[in-house]
Amino acid sequence: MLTIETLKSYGANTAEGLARCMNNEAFYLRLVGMGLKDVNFDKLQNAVASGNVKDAFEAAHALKGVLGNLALTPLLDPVSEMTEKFRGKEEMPEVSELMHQVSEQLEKARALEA
Amino acid sequence: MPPGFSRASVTGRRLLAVLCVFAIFLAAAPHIALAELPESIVKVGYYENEVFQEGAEEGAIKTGYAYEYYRKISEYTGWKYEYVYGDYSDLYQMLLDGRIDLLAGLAWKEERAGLIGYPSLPMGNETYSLVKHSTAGNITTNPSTFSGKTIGVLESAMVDALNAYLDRNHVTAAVKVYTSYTALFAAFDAGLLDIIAAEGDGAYGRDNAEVLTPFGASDYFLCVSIDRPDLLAELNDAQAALTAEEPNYLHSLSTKYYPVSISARAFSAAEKEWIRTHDALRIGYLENYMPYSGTDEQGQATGIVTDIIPEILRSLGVANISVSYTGYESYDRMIADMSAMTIDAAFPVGGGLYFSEENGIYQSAPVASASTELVYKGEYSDATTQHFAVNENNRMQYYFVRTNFPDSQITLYPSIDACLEAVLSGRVNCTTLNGLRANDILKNARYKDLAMYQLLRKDDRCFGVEIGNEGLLKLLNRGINMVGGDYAQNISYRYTHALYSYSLLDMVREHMALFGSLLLAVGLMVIFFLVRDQKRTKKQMAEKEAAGAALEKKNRELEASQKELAETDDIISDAGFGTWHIILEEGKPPRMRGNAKMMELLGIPVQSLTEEEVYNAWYSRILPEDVASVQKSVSEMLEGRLTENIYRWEHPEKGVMYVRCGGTAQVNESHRQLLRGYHSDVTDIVREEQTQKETLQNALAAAEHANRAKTTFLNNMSHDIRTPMNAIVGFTALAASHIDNREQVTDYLGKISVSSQHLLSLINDVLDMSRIESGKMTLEEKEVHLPDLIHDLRTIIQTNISAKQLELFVDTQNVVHEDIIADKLRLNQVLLNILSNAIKFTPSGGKISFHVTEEEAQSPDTANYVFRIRDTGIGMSREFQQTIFEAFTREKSSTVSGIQGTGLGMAITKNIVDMMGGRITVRSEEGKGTEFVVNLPCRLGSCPAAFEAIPELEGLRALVADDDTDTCLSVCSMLRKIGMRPDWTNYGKEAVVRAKEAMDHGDEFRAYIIDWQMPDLNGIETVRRIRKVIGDLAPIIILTAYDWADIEKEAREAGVTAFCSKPVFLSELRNVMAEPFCKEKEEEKKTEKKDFSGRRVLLTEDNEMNQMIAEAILTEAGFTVEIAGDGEVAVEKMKAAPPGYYDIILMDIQMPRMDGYEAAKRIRELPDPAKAGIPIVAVTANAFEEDRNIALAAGMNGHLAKPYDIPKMMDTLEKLLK
Repeated sequence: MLTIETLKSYGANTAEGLARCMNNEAFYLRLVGMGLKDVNFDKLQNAVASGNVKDAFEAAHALKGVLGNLALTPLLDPVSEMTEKFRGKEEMPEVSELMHQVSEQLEKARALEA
Repeated sequence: MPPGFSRASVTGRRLLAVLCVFAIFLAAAPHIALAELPESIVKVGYYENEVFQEGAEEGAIKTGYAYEYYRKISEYTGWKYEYVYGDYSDLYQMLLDGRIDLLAGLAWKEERAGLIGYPSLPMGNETYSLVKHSTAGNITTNPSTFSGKTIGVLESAMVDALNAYLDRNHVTAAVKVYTSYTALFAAFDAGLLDIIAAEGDGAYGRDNAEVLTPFGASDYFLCVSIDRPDLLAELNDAQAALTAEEPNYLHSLSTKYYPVSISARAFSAAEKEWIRTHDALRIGYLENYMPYSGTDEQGQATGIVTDIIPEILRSLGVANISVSYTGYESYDRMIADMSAMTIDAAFPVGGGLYFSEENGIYQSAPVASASTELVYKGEYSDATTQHFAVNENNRMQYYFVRTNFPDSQITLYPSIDACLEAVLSGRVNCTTLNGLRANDILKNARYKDLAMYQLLRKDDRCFGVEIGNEGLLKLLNRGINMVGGDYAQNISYRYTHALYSYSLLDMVREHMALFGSLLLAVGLMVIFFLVRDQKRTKKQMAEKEAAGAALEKKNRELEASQKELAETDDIISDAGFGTWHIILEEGKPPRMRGNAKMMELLGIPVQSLTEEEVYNAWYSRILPEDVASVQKSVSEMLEGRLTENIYRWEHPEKGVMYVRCGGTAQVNESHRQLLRGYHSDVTDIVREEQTQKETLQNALAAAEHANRAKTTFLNNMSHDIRTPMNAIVGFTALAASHIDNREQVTDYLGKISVSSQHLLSLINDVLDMSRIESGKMTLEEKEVHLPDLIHDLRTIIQTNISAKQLELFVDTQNVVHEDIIADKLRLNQVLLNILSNAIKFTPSGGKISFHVTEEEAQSPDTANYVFRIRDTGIGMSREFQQTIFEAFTREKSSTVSGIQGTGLGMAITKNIVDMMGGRITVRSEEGKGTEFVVNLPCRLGSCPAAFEAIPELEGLRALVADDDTDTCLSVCSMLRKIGMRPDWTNYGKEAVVRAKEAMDHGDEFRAYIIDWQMPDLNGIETVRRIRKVIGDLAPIIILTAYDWADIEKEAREAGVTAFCSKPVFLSELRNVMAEPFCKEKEEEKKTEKKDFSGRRVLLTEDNEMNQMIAEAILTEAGFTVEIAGDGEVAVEKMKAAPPGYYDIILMDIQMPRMDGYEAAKRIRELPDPAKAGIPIVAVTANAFEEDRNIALAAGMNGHLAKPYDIPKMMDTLEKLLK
């Protein structure tokens, strides 16, 4: 079950996320659920794998906004870092470690929903 | 009279020698009588001084330079010594008090002159050298490297010389004065001193000492107590006699005890190259030139050459070189073979440098510096040197004669014997013989009629080496220096038998000749004087009359010329030149007179001093180091040359100045010599030249340093990159060859991954650095919550800390402001870099502490933080600390330290800190640890956390228990800010007792803050016991540096109310403390919310979830929200809507189809001014200053960052809608 408590223990800054949702818990939890299904996660993975920096940047950038709003810190941190690595680059930088973190954290967060 | 100022012409010197022989005969007579009287006992102060004076103890065996000198003096004085032992300084005091009579080794000091008796001649001359530990690579011969070092020196004249040297070179070093050499050397050997000032080369066989540079020189004397003028007189006589009888005594004594230890220095590159490329040394020698070289009956080489070559190779420590000798009858053939490179070196060569150059050879240092004897028959006269016999196979002789007697006629003969025969037969007037050969050759009875006299010019006998063969030349020079200048002379006796056969008759004949010519000389002199006197009386009458008439005319002429002279003098004086005369007269002290300008330059009041005093005033103020150069130019003047010299001279008022002085001899007679010249103050010119030279040298050194650093960096980088690269290549190959073994391949891939990561971080560092250097790095400006930053850092490094079994302390002090504007990522990078280094360089079991302190700031909207990271690691050298922040530097190459890195980390760190307007410093001690301090001023965030007191807790007591006192104090001060009355203890058990006590007194604590880990009683147990005492009365908060998820259950059961992470920040503590009371407050706050009812916003955002959140926020604030999925939709909507329909647009930037910038531009271009002028706010996850600028440039009115910050969003909207 996705609850404020489980999100908190996952590492999300739930106070901040809730505040952004007018302290409406249900609304916040719904948004988190949506956020974790964001297509940009797949886009990011594909772009990194195919070496397309421009797409990767766009996906990471979009995720950064979403995850920031939701205050999903464990996911936000690696995504933000990736965004900066992609910014203005022609060649795909080395992000395998960060990509690995994103997948790991995403899996962990999605597990909360079960 | 100072040495170097005495010069006698050839005849004068001979006469003097004869007189001395008489003097010694006379002096010997009373000696025999004295020997029967009780011997005079002289008390000598005897202090221990390596090599100079050893065995300063009753019964110890005495050796040394000074000891040998005492023995020599006693040969002349008949003194018997009583040695008095002690420290130099004690003995000096005893000399002053008259308790001892003699003390050796004192330099001339004017202020001492009245206190002790200086003899007229020194007992030796000393060069002072600086000596370092040979391992101290940071000290070089460049004096600037002595800065900040500790230099030890004996309390002696050396102290002044050292200080003068340091001043001259602008070196600030700690000079430590020792009263004894034993103490000085002990301190040096113990490593307390970086450098010692020592006499001679100072290394004295110390393996680990290396001579840096000489820094001064001075004569030193055997001084006599002022109460014993009788001893002083005897000493003066003895020294004068010693000088006459054994002129080379001091020189050979110093060579014996102080051989030049050039061996202390390393071979030069050219020398090494020669040794590397050669395994044989082919020597050519002259076959008929004993004792230097010759061929014996067996056809083998013999003579000095066969001794000195092996000796040189032995001294140089060069093994594996085979030596072969080739004999030459002709000098020219030998030189030709050297040009043809069939021999490497020729011996002997000589005859003057000019001809060496003509022959294309270098001359080595002299193997023997012998005089040349002129050999002639009959009476010596000017005509004697008109016609020379010269050995055609000995070019040295030919060159010598051509150089020194250019106008003479030369006839060549096939051998020296033929030459001597020619002199005997009168076909020529004379020939020459080398000093080492002459005596022995002329001892042959057949040459008894030949006379000889020593020519002034010495003719050195050297090795010759082809020009260009620098390595061999340097090696030979070094070797010759090491075997010593008198080596050849000392072994020459072995070969003299080859030059003559000597009989008793020969000896008698020789002595007959000596006495005969002596008597003749005396007789001639008597006759000469008698005749001269008689002639005088006759002539005088006639001359007087003629003189009377001429006198008046002369006077007139004199007057005119004097006027002219005065005018010339004025011109010269106006140009700043003084003019002087020095008068050297046999048997009188030197005198000097100068014109008015000269006196002014010397700082002497006109006419107040005698000429002798003027001379002394000038001479005594020449800096000791420069005396030699002045003496040299005086000798040159005496040789009839015009010379000029610049030397340092101590002006009585102005201090040390540079003087340009030149002149020549005016009168040059055997008994009286008059020198004259000019003298001017060129201090300014010389100083300016020196400054320019130094500036150039400094610039050069800086450029070289930078260049070296880059080269080193490249070398290290190549190594560092190659190491992981090798691993990657190697394991890839291994993986390929084991492709079927899944387990092994997985292992290899893991290793490849680790190496790749490392390689990547190296490259990232290099890129980061180049971004900084090219100014491309930008800083993000964003709100940062300091507690988050610190807690995150702690989490990140915790794993490494635990893995390395280090202890980590993190605490804060006075941190009042927690929300700042900064680039979180970069600030993280800075602190992480320093922390990682601390972990990297601290061995297991070490301690790392991280203190964050807030200091008072200049303005109310900034905060100053001090981040202090200290470790107990390996530390770094002082030199390295100065360059740690420069790019491309590392303490040691990674191979040595075993720790890898680019040497860029700290340079990057420093650059980021600089960009942030901060300051980073480092203090470190090798083996003890390192402390980095980052001072960082930060702008405060827009909505700082509120730190007002919590009214409900006002005046209530709280108890803090933590084993770290700093934490206790810091938490207490926070509690006071909240309004509580805190108390603290370091022990869990004590906390329990205090709780009980407070209960009993009815003033219980209303909050407990307990550390999780305390040595005496852990936090959970403490809480359990406190709960037993107080029940559920007060909240108990656990402080912990770790994730508390694992212990939460147990802790809650024990009675813990809440957790607070370490380091503790005020906001967090306050939140925890206020939790029970804050619900109502939040509700209060909510009522204050902004109301935008009736306003319509166009939310342009492509992400559905962001749309939902923004919509929720905006709707909550009263807005009517319409959504556009991208820029194009937004523009269409604006076109379609009537003017004034939307009040404001929130515009995402990164959107498909049309981005926010483009959309904003299009809207601004709409024809309807009401539509075109609508406020647009950019909303983006980019929070860079430059993004904000682009947004404003695209015509937008404001900029908001994602994630949404509700208060900020409301503020911005409110402002724009007003």
